[in-house]
Amino acid sequence: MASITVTNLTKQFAEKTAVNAVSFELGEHEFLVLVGPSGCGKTTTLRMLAGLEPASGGDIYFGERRVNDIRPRDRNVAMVFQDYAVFPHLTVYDNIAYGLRSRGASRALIHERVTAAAKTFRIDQLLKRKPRQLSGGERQRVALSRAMVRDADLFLYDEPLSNLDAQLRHQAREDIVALHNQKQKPSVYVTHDQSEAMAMGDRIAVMRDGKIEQIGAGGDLYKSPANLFVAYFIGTPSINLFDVTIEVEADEFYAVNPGLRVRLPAEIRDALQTYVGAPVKMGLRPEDLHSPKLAPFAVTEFNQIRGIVNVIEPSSTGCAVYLSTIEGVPQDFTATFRTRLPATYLEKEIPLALHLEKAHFFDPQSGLSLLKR
Amino acid sequence: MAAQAEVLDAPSAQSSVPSEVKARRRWQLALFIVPAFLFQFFWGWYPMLVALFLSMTDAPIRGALTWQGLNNYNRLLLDPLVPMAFRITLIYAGLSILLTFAIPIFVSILLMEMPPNVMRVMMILWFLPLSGIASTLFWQYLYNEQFGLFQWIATAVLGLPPQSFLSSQNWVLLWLILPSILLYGPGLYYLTGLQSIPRSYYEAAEIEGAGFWRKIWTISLPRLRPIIAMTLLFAIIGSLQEFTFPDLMTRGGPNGASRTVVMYIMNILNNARYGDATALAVMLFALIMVATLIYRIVFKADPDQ
Repeated sequence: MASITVTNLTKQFAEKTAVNAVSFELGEHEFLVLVGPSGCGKTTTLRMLAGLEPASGGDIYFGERRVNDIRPRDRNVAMVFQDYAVFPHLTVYDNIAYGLRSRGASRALIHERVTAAAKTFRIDQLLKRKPRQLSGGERQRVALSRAMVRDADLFLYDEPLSNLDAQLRHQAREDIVALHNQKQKPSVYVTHDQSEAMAMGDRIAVMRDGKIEQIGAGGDLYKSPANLFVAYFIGTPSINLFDVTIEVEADEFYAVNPGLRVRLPAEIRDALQTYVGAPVKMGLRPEDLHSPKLAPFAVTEFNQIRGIVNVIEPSSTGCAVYLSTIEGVPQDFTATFRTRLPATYLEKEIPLALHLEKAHFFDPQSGLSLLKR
Repeated sequence: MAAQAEVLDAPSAQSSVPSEVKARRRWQLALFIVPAFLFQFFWGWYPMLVALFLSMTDAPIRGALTWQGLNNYNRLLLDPLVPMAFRITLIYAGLSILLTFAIPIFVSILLMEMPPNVMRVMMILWFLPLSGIASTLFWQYLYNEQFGLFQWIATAVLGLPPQSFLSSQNWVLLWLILPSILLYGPGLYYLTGLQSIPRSYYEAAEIEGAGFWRKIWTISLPRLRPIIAMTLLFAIIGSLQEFTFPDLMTRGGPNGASRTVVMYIMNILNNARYGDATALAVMLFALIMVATLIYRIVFKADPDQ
């Protein structure tokens, strides 16, 4: 059963439609991540869920209850802010207890809850301190503790990790997941970082210009993006996009451009039938470009691309190689390998095998995916 | 951690500086301090010490000084007008702090809830560069017992018997303070202070279930504390030294009912009793000093410590 239902939610500011007819449902224990570039309306959507921003149109239901006209304090939500919004003039204890006190909880209950929450987030030795004496990570945990002491029906996170450095960010991510697992309540998490979204979300909604472009599990968005934007936004390094023309020769389909001529798998012929002779965008994830010797498929002259190595960027798991094509107008593309490519390959021309079974095809005008996977 | 590292690094960083450079730095530092020190000395501490000395002499404008010891103070303590002036000053200060200090805080908090235009108009009103004399004349007209606006409101609008306003011994202090309630400057400081509070504090409080008053009590007022501390201190010091407005409005009348200590000092000066006047000034100084010290001990200005 859906515990949160949002239908056609719209926010109109004076000049701009920040959120445009957004709809989604949220299950009882679900962790939904709203992800998108800045200005895409993800934070505004979250603020409308909290009640901090009145909706210009559409409905928000918490269970059976329509909450559009209900004040934030009566919606029983918990929210973690980007700047934490920890009150600097109150001690850690008073900060965590704030919500319980506002709601008139008994002193004993407050004490019990606050100490338990502080223990969960390892700040129980800091309860008497003021936030000024805390590090950024500790302040963030105060905000998380404040969110967890009450039995909120919905947990909201507005880019809570963006002010932390990389190492703390990982720890805090775990803390948030731990909080979610303990509370088992619906949660909405806003971020602009797609890797964070992939790591945390049960489902991810990719937003752009106030609209949800696609919503689904992280793996699904990655494997079958609905359009160019989602394909490009999800995954680092980003997907390679080649402008190609579909050509038919002896019943075989080929994707062709001046530097490339590859034979396409038989399964996708139907999907591309109407695009024969027309330009399309072919997308290939960097990890679907392989060194010909190590490719997990048969390498022929019809699934190769040649490129000059511009940059080799080592990573913890291997490396990312940035290349450009040789023939015609040079086009940049990227490949990732599980092994380290020696620096001697720089400026050299190398062949790469394309895993075309994993290729994506998009209409260049509408950006929509041509494949139904 | 970073702060600790800095502390550890500091001595080594200093010792690496050659001693002649250090000497020059000290010399440069002195250059910055000396003018301020000289100014403070000649216009602050030196007159204070001289005043303390003069208060124990007859302090004639010309001719030789005669040592009086504590005679001036004794004479002042026997003068019934002195305790009266102190009493009036304290009442005036207390009343004006009570009325002009708390009200602008709440007005500012309420203004923050208003549309931006209303707020802007109020800020302009508060910030208007008013000429002291002109506004005094204006208030004299308002309080005028025959043609004043207030008299007209009292009699023609409210149907009350004619009011005595500034000539009422019981009410004169209140009427003197009223103008500053309406046009007192700190409101502007409070508004600026309120505007610098991050919106997310209020939003977090709202989500955590706080209502209007709880938000004021737990966020607005604590965040304003440094500004409140400053204006309160200025209000204490300023109101204990009040002179210009009551002097222009009432000349201390009726019957000395609005004669503050500084006005009485002025009276004594006009009678050429310079030693006594100085002694009374020293007494007022002591009062302000004690008030300030108590205030500093009682009131913690930084809410975040």
